Amino acid sequence: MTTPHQPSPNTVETATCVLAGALSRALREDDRSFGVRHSLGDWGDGTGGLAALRVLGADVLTPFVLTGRPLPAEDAALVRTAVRAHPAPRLQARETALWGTRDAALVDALAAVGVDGAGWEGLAPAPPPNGGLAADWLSLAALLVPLASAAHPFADAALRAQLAGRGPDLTRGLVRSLLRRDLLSAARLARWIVLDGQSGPAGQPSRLAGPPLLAPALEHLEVLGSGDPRVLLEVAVARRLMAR
Amino acid sequence: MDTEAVRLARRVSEGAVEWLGRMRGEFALPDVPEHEIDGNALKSLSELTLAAGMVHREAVAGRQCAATAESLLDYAWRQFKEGDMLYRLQTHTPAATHPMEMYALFAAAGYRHAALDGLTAHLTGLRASRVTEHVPNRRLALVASARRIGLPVLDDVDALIEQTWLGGTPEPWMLDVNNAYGVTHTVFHLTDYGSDPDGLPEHLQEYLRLWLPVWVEVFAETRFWDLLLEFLVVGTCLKSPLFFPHVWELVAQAQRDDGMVPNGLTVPPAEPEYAWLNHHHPTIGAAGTGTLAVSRALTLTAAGTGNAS
Repeated sequence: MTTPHQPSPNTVETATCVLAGALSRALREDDRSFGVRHSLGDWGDGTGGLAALRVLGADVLTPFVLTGRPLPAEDAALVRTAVRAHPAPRLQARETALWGTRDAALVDALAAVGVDGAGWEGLAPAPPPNGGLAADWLSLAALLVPLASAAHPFADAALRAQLAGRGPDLTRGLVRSLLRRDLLSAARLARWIVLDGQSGPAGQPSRLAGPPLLAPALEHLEVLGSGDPRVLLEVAVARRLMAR
Repeated sequence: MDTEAVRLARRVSEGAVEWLGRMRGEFALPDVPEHEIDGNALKSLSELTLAAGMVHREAVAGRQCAATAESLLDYAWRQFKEGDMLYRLQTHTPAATHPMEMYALFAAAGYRHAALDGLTAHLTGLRASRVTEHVPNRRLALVASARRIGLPVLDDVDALIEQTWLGGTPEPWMLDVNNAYGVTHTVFHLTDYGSDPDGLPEHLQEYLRLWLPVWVEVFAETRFWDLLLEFLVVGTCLKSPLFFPHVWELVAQAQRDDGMVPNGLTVPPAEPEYAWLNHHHPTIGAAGTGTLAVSRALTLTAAGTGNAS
């Protein structure tokens, strides 16, 4: 039995993969027409499809924000419906802060395509200013992986400013995730590196420790992650960010 | 490395040495014709020699542990008939390199055999010894052995380094277990197990300071103690050493009450003589690693730079 607020088993994951696949195709091919509702097809009317919109967060807007496509009005309305149907969880402080950053990125992405989403029902409250990022590379990576949908040129200037000089730490996180066969986390960290971490061994040739690692890492993720639409979406966003 | 981590490293290594001391009989070479002795038996006894030699060389162990290590060196030397057996193995197969590699461990600890000195000097001077088809890091083992014996090094060491996995400074996520042991041995041979950190070229120091913490984290998570202990040695072999104190806590927890350190892959049987087969290697590793960690930490403290991570 399903209720309006409870997607049937497996539907969220499937719908998320369907949408992620459509998003990454739209990011790779500028001339392809794209709409969120259109891409979701039948999923767009169910709670699983709406949940997928919440899972991917601001990334559902990347084909508009990063390629200049106009956002169809029905897609803006669909995002708003998804936020209302699946409000940000507020039970635990860490969860609230995480969703605060994710939803702030969503509002920023909406603003970038001319939609005022501030105040929409279901959004998490703005995150409290963080007290400085973790000093060690492992904790930094653990923090940034779930925040990847906020890794956008227009999002969270305060967070991004704190990443200055953390390129080597971000790259350590990427390497660890690849060694653990956690391609999604690796791809998300690669995206942060593209945005703010190219001062380290990923983006700069080191006179001592070798050539830059970002390009082979992205290629590695595309080849080994070819069966996972969510990995490919992160890489497609990363490549778009690089081209900017 | 903080005081607590040094204490743990000392406890782990001394416990491991005592276990090896009690288990020495398991390292005895089988009673078969010498050239038929199984390679694994020779390897185990050599590794025991190496660890005992490190305790001897670093001279930071307590009185009982130091005495056990000395007795293990004597024991191993007697197993090799005070060098005569190694000499016979080397003459039986002149192109083999393992007799010389084993002798070098003893030579470094002051156990000499005049005929072997002459034989190895002759063999390493031959053109054949420039082209032995070992994996690249093993070629560096031969260079290190020549140095320990006091023979001239005729190889182009930089060219040999470039042929190793580490020397290629590859994408660090391409490390697998086989190459990981290649990395650790490249570092062991170039620094002579930490006694000469300058022997590792600057670009490899830099590469390891970047990526060794990641590799340690990955293999600490899998509790693969055997490889992890080798990585800990690598950390102590760097000019600016990395000690990973949090990993020492894990290793100390993994060590059994009797001093054995399990390999992290297979469950050790309760009887030590059965556990020996699969778990003597990590225990030997623990004996040497702990010794090096304590020694380098003490040296840095004496130099007033003891806070390196």
